[in-house]
Amino acid sequence: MNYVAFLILRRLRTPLIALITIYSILILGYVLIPGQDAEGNVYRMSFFHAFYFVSFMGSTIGFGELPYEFTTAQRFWTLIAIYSSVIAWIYSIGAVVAILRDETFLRLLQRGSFRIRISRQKDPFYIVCGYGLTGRSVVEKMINRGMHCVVVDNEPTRLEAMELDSLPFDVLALCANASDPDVLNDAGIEHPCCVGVVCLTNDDHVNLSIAITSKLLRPDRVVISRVATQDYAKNLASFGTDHILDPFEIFADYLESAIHQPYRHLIYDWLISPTHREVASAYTQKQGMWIICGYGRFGKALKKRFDTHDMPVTIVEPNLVLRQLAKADNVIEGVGTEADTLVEAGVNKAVGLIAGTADDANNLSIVMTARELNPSLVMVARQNHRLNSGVFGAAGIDMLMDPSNIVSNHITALLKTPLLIEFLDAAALEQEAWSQALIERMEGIVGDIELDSWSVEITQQGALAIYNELRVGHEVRIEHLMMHPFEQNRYLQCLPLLIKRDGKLMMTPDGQHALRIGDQILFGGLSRAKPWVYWLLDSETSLRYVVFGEQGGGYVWKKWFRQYLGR
Amino acid sequence: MNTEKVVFAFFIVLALTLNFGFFLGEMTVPDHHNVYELFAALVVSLIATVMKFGDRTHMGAILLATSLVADLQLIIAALIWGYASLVSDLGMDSAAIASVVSLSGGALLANLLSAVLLAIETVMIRR
Repeated sequence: MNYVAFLILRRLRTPLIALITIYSILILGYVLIPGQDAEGNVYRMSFFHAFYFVSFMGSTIGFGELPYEFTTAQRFWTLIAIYSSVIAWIYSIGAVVAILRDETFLRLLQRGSFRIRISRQKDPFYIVCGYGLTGRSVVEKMINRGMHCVVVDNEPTRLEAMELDSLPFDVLALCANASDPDVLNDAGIEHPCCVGVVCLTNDDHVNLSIAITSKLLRPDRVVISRVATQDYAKNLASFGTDHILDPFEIFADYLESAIHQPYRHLIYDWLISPTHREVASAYTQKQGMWIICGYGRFGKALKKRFDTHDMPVTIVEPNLVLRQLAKADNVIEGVGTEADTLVEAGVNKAVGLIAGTADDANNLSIVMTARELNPSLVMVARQNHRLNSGVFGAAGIDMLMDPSNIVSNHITALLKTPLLIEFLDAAALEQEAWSQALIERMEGIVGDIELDSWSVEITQQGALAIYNELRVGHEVRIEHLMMHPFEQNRYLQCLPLLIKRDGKLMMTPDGQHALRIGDQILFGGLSRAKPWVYWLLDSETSLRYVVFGEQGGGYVWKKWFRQYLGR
Repeated sequence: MNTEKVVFAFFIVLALTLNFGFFLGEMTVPDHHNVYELFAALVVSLIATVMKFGDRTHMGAILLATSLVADLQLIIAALIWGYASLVSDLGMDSAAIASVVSLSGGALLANLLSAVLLAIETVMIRR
């Protein structure tokens, strides 16, 4: 803030000096030029009268000639005085207005107020660097979950767009280059409430420098970074970036599990993305030969996964030299948009096709051509631009790879609760039958609606009511947390996915499981069940109602009840 | 060479010399003290003050403070002069001119201090 005051004062120097100089010359002129009083005697203005006259003349020009009628010489000087003082004022006022409209000044002012607002921040917050498509959807999801975030982007138009996004809460935004450590500092990396930094700029190098700066300044802050190339991913991992998200690798893993473990894949899909796939999709035949069109970063990531399972793959790539491929039986030269290339690649006997080029029009054309040749193909397409989402939606694609969506869903899952990621990692080790049973239970609960997940912790801060019951030795079971606090025999639409007790994980515990102090429980279910679960954690009355079937009121009611009815 | 500092030095020394010229003479004799000199000293001192606006260095802030003191003293001296010569029934008597001169003497001290500080700053730069 001090910067601003100094800047204004510095800019005011010239206009003020101009005013002082012109005023002093004018005053001196009036004092020196002889006048005449009413009787015609020679009279000289005093400095006081001269200052008085110049003061009102400069601003109003209209009180008349004081203290006596002017002589011609004085009127000459007045003429000069009028114009010069008006010009001096216009110049000074103009200079002040120019300061107020100055870009650097305004930016300093915004930066100052941003810094003040950050320092007043009392709730935990994340710093999101980059407000592109991904950043925007991450911020929107975070805000909708009641998390606070601070946005830094060096593109003013994007931040202007944020003002129009009508988010339910104010999001603090700064227009600056986040790779500058000063900017990160102003955004609150050192602030005690800062939880972590999310790097989502389009430039890997910028993400890298943000990550390294925040890790150096505050090693305890969580750093999540998007990355587009493997070199940068390794670089980020080398200094302990907590989560590195490469959309191509994530999608390749996703597709791999869809092919080999369809039910586990569904669990992952339901928990991570808001719109989930139907259970029926697990029955589709996906084992067999696949065709990959486009062998860039995406194609390579997929090929690696297919190779580990020894599945036959045919690659269709227009530029074999660039991709360092030799023409072979399973490497076809061409874009894949023409029927003969696809036929040569064996589209008739393939089970699936991946349209993974960097061009949306080509990808759509590949999908349409291939479907004509083989309607039963499983279609996977890569969508490069957000604008085309309507067209891709209409194309009836089985699995759509939208990088910004993948990254934002993944980040939201990471931020929701760390237990979710632990659950997914542990679920990877389970058998398909277990996954199938779980997905059927999930379907029974949520149907087509988004499956939300949340975690609760049985501690004095997190769940006072349960903590008090457990401390006196009463038994509270998980099923109690799934009951409606007001309506008897009605269950909430949620199920416990995981209990973490003393560092050990228990997958899908049943309702009879007794709770213990210190337990962390991950629930999955409809988001409207979430507030009721939280209600039960804290409300003693509701908890006693679901556990003991006890009807009761508040403190006053119970006291009255005991006193007058002797109970 | 920093032009800004040189120009400031010019104004601050000019304010000092003008003030000294006004201050010189018998304390109670109005004829020894020229009103034009007081006017010039005030204007030059004001300009010197404005030139230190927005200076973020410690020395700059001190110089701003000392020249503000000089301005304050000179403005009060000018007000007393105006009051004595135009409003007061007694006119410009020896008591009035004595207080004007003593105020300008205070301003002189402040100007002197500015000049000394400026000299110190300059010496520091040379090292």
